[in-house]
Amino acid sequence: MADPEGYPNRLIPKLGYQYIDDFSPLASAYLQRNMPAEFRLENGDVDAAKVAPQSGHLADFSTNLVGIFLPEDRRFQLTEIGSLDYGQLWLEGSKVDEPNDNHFYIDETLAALFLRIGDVPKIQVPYNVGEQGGFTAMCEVRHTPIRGNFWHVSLRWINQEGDVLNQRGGWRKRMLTAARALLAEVMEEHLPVGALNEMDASIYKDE
Amino acid sequence: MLQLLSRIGAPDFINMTVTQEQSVFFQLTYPEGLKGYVELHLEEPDEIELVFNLYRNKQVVKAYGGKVEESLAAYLYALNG
Repeated sequence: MADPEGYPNRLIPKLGYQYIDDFSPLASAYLQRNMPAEFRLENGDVDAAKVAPQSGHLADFSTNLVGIFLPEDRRFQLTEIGSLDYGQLWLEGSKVDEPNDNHFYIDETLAALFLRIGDVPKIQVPYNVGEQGGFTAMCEVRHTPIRGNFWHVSLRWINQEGDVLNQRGGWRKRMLTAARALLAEVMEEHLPVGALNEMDASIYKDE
Repeated sequence: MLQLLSRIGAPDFINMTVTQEQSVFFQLTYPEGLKGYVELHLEEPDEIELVFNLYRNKQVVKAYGGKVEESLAAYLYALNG
């Protein structure tokens, strides 16, 4: 079903926008992860298996930077055709036309979990390699804007070898199991009052 | 595995999900705020492996992955403090 208001223009990358390399000024801002409507177990806990249905999604964990992206914007989902263009990474300086009704649909059922950016550096997942324990991967925020959403941000896992996304090994599934558990533990269901503060334009605009 | 996990540590709650990637994910809660996240990896050609993460108050108590018997023994040991 198309939305009579159309796709939110605030999500589209604009000329003059720049990649966000430094998230430290955004420590009090929140990331939003889209979740299926029924993401809680019968006992009320977050169902960790639904935080990321596939481990590949954990290694490059998609979220949205809340601020100009409003929590309710998660309703706007790209269609298969729309993803071919608007799902691609945005290249700085490139112009993006607004999506039309064929490019997106509305999903009113999606729920969300939130994570404060300032809490991300505290997130470290433990894992063992063979019998040797004590390995950790630290969580980092990376701005990964797509053509249909400038506010798309990824969580990545960094160990002593670099980004886990680019690594292989038997330990990787242990690390990603740990990441799934940790995210279920630390993500919050509600956005705190005052979390939708205005964002300083100098963070994302080349001024 | 579900039966086995339901017998060790006396969980209050247990949930099992068959994932899209040849693994089975278990989520368990125990008395005194302990939570277990256990994944049985069955991906071929890798050896079957059991990975667990045990949490209390959002802090990891113990994490380990390895052969099923070794991992279960480590899990039981961690549950018993």
